[in-house]
Amino acid sequence: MGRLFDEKARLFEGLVYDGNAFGKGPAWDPSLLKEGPAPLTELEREGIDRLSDVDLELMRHKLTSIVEEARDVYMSLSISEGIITGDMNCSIFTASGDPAVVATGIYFHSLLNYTQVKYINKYYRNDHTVGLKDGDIYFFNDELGGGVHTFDMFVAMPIFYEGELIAWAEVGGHQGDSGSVSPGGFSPKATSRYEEGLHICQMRIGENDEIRRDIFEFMCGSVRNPFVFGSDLKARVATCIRIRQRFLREVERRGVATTVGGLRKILTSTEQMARDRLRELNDGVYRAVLFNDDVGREPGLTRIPTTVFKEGDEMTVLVQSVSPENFAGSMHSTWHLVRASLGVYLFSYFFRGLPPNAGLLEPLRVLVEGPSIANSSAEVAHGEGTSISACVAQNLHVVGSKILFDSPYREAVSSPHSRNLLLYIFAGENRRGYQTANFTGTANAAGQGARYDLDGESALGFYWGPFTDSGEVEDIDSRLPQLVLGRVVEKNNHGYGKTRGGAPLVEISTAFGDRGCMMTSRGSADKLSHNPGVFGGYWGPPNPRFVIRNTNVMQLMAEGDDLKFANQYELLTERPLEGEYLISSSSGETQKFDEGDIFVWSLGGGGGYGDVLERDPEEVLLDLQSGLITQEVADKVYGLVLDPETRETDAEGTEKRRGEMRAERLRAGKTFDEFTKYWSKQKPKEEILKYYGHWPEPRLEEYDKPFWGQYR
Amino acid sequence: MSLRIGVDVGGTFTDVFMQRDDEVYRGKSDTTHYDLKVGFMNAARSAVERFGSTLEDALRSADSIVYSTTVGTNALIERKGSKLGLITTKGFEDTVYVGRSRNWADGLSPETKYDRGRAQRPVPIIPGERIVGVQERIDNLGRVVAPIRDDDILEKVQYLVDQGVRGFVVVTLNSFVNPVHEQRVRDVIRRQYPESYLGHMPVYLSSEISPQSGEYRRSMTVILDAYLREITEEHLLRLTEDLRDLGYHKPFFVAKNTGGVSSLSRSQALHLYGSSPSATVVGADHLGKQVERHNVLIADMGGTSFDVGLVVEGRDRVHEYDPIIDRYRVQIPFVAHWSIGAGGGSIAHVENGVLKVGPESAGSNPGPACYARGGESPTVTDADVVLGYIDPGYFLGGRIRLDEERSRRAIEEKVARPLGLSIEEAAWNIKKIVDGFMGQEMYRICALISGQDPREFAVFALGGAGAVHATGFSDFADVKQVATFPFGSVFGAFSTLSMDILQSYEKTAQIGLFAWDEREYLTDSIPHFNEEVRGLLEAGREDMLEEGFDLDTVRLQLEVHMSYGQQRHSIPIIAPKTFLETAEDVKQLCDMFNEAYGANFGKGAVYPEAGIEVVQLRLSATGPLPKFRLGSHSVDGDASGALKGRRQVYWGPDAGYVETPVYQREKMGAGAELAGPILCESEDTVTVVPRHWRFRTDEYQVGWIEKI
Amino acid sequence: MRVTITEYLGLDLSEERWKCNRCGADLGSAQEPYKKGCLIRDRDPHDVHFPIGPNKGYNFAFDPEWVRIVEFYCPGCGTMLENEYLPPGHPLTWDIEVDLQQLKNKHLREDLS
Repeated sequence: MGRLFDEKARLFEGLVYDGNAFGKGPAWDPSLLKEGPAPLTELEREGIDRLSDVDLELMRHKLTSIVEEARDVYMSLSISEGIITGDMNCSIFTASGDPAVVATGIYFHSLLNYTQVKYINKYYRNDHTVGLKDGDIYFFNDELGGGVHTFDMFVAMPIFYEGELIAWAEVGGHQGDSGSVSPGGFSPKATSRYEEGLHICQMRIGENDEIRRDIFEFMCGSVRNPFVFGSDLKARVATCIRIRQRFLREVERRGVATTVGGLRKILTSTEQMARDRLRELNDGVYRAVLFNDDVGREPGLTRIPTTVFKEGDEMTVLVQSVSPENFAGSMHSTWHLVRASLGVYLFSYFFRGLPPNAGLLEPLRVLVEGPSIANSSAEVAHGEGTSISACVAQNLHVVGSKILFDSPYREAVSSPHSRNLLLYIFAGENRRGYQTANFTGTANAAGQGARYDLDGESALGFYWGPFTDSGEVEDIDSRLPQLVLGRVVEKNNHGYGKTRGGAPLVEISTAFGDRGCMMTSRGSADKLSHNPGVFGGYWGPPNPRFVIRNTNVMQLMAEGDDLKFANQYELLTERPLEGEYLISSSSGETQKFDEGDIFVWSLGGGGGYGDVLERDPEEVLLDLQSGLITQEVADKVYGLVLDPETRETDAEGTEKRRGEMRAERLRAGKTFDEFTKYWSKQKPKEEILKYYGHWPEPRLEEYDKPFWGQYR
Repeated sequence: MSLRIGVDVGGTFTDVFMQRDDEVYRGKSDTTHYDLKVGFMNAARSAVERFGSTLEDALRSADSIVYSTTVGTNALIERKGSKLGLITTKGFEDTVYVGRSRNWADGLSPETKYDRGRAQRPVPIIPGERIVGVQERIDNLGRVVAPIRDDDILEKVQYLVDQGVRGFVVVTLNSFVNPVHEQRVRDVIRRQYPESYLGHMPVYLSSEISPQSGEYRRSMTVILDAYLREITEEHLLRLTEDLRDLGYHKPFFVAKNTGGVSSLSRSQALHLYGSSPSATVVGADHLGKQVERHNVLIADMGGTSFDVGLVVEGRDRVHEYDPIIDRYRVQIPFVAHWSIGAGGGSIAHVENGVLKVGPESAGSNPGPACYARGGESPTVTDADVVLGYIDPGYFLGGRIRLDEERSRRAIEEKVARPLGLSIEEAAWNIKKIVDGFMGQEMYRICALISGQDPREFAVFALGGAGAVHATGFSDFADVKQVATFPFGSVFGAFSTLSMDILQSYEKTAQIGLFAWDEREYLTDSIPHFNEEVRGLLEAGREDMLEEGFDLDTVRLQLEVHMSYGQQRHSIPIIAPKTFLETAEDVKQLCDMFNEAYGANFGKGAVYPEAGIEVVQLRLSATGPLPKFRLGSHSVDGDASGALKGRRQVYWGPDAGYVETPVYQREKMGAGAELAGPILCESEDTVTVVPRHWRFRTDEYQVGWIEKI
Repeated sequence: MRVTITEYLGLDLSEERWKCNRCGADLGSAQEPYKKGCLIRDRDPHDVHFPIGPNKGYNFAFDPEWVRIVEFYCPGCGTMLENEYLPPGHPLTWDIEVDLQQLKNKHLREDLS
């Protein structure tokens, strides 16, 4: 694919790039995962010929409105926290199983969970023991079949018209507990696939629009929260039926060929728009690299590099020389998950303004080296694979900003959204007597990366989902076992720069009641970060797990004393509470917590943009006054000088101080040759390189070039 | 003789609708934003002139005035409300700023609400420096976990006073369950700043104004109400004073977005916001009952907006599940309506080779190209002119002369040429796109909210452009029946005279009715349920007494919002009895809930094993007012006298331009029936009837457009 | 002619050399990484991200044993053109390699139209 790629790239032998690193299995067929859209059927061709441009626009809008209605129905029927906050999708696929319209909260769902339908078409439809008919209900949740991880669960139902299969409806999302080794679905310490709960690649669970009772009871009996699970499963079926009803009405009104042709044409027309956009951008080779600091069971450095070849109307994303996979945790992505994760960046930023659907990815070739942590084999644990695929998406965001700056799309230039994952999953009996296991809406309040012309907004949604909402504390009070003591925008927790990143919301809560609660944590980016800045902006800092055991907070509150902390920063620096302050890796096993134990967590702040010494002093002062930064940061990082009496900015003094700081840079900076000579002698400690692979290039025994990725 | 006056102050026009015995009179004037009263008087004057009276005489003899105003909208847009301070639970001072991490998108159009990369929060109503936290905590069961201290309150209040605040909003967590801490804050403030002294400042408690769960929404509800209160009060008091000077001493009612009216002294400022589209829904329900249509899709298409409303099973109280006012989520029982487009002024343009209409609008200034006010972009109205639907010499009864040449030129340059089409084909496509998008949106809203098929509905086409596009968008909405009304362009003003006095009381009340583990109906919950209802009734009694009703003469309705287990979404069930007494009563409510749930989402979704809960109660008290009724006319069925001519009208690429009969609406009697293609013109709109549709006037002079 | 590629990087198309957008300083051949023309300093991340709390390994700031901040300065004006957060000794990123021919053609087309 292209001269640049041929000239500059060299793939390693013995490794897979252009598809999954696992082969066909008992219930999965990876060739379906990279198949691309099926060829046009006769019926589709007939419909497409009949559709004018205007008709197509109207059809696109109509089919989109069907899935949007479905999304609202699904979200209002669900109990599961993840669904309600937008980690879900409702789709209509073509008869051959290509996703045409999707209403979602998380864009990668537009690019996943359709190959299972292709599997059903290919292997089950004409098998006399299974077959396919109107009213069938299929379920799937397995990552190898084309999903994300076992706790994302889906239902699909075929749509027939006059005996012919014409489309599929699908509904699903983040469900939660899947009967795995830790409650709530996440199993950060799982070391193989077989600790991750129910694995269903694609199975019929009902007929004639009803779920079979024996299967329903089997599934509910395999998870820790049967009523939530059961209720949400029924919700998915009800929503699929709603989609089918609307779709068939449209078929009645417009004719089957037109509707089906329109569904198909939506895919192809979007591809053309993506190509047109790509053609406007500068050709070249662009690179970014991120590192991870935990494998699940223990800390360890791993590497995820990304090289992008942009040429004409196509783009190749190459993830090569990645750390190998391991059996020490579940941070393993798959090839299709990496590809889908790119959608999160591409739909919101790179292809901003274009309809967000699978067609946009057609001009992309995605090459992910495997087996590795980015493209793993079947047997390893995959639950936290999104940690790795997100790194590729973050790399692409940095690269994308570098490409888009010199283009008509500079408005999309920014630092990436915060991805420093830390989630606390609380489990136990809530104050209304219900058993519950979930995280809170604070997951949806991460900091946004700085824009080229604006600061990043603080507390702006979950990394994956632009449509998410952090909910209300009173809701948490009535649903979860802990008691929230504060939710505030955090201090010194974003990337500094000419424009700064947004800060996250930090949630401080205590286990409450004599039964206390269980808590499992998952995440990474504890010693390093996945929130890069661009063009010299500093990164959003790491956010490890922070709990305080055995505090006196209940006593202080009962006595009416002031809790002298406003945020995490003050809790840590002033230590106003007695107790054991424990800061550790985000990835934690399930533990019991008692009343008075304190939990502190947030989803991290976005990276900054541009040189800090260019930030308007008035803005720095505002950051200081609004509690986003400390005086030390204003002084030492931004070089802000204030008038000692008025406490207003001293513009002249600031310019002078900044001049001194620039002079210091020139004095301390080495030339390239001097630097590389010194730098090449540095190396991290052996113990953190246990899971890395070869240092510095995981796949090469030796490498001594000053720039990584030069394999020719 | 009886005379009732309804006033609707809109963004562009102020409409007046007078009901004088059985006759109705309309008046219209430009809205005078610098002083809304002036526009009102002008419009009223133009109405009374139609029956040969003077404004003073009319006011002296009028029985009531109902007033729907935009003073709140303007105040929010211009940020002209009161300077407030917010006192909240320490640790949660960032609640209103963060706005659920979603307030950057709330209130934005569908095109921009997903553009996360360019997100920007609205400027806060109460900035950070006027927000303080007091140490206290109450849990969701109402238990005091951390007590509140007077010295802490005093210190924070003093700080706010130093910041120059003119009023205090108080929101503590879970105050809707246990309000003691909020009340304590008020006590301390009142002690410090007694009401009898100068400089006294109002204190607004969230537990009184909106006792419902959700501290962000509750905060914004109280903040917005408090913010708009002074400026709204001032405006209304001055207006009523001026009316008194002119001889009007009778009741003055304000129209509310909750779907009813009330006297000034019994109204909350926030309820006046966006009252017009809510009133329109009530008006449609009222007329719907008269013409026996209980499922109505309201489509109000004007020059600058397209608003949709719903009446389902004769209930106009379709409340917005998640109401948003301006850019803020609130918790009021807002009668739902949806703004889905920019109306006749929507601009057509070609983007990436694709024809798009809107969301940008030419508004009324410069307006469509044919207005010749400097607008160069082709709009939907320009397309209507080119297609021959609108007569350039008879637009708005001839008040504005349109320049067809400009329409043609704009369409040619911006749409026809880039797409390689003729001007007519381009105009046709513009109409098709706007009708299609609007109609499909209407379909989605109708299907989602009612759970029913839109084929069960009739469309009421309102607004200046409603009747022009009605068959277009109704077809896309899968509806075969459209009603148009002679006063369709002042429907908002008319609707104010179809509303009753209404007060609504909402309270979050988390009460279990059915337990999943014991499979048992929870009779233990009955006292709690009844106590909550009693509280709501008391508030209702007081308000209605002020309006001149006691609880025996008002209509009471208790809505019980219920859900399964910990489901988030609830369904309102109209309680058959106000109080619960036996297990049978509890079971009856649960059965009604299961049935309603199944009807909307399918029987398979019903899941009582998850437990059944009450999450909220809503009591409405309605005091009936005399309402306008459509008069019956003798049916003569002869429309020939109404034929005013013929002109060339474009009916699509297959038919092309066709010589089409044009009728004068006002000259058509009752019972006329004409098959399309025809046009039916009136002073303020044109009814477009294509082939395969027919136009029929009924005994009420309602114009029906029906698919044959 | 000079084109702006990023916030701080310009490219002189005729000379085929990188330039600083702020002061015009030459940063080397555009066929090579611009970082070669910069002054470079690696820093303890705690110089910028001040540790919070007493824990040495986990302190909401980067662990200096895992990460160093490598800063790239314009040799003329001292502006920080870019930075990287890398484990000590990890090779640098050649982040931008433009296709010069294509870039020239694009600007030639723009000039002509």
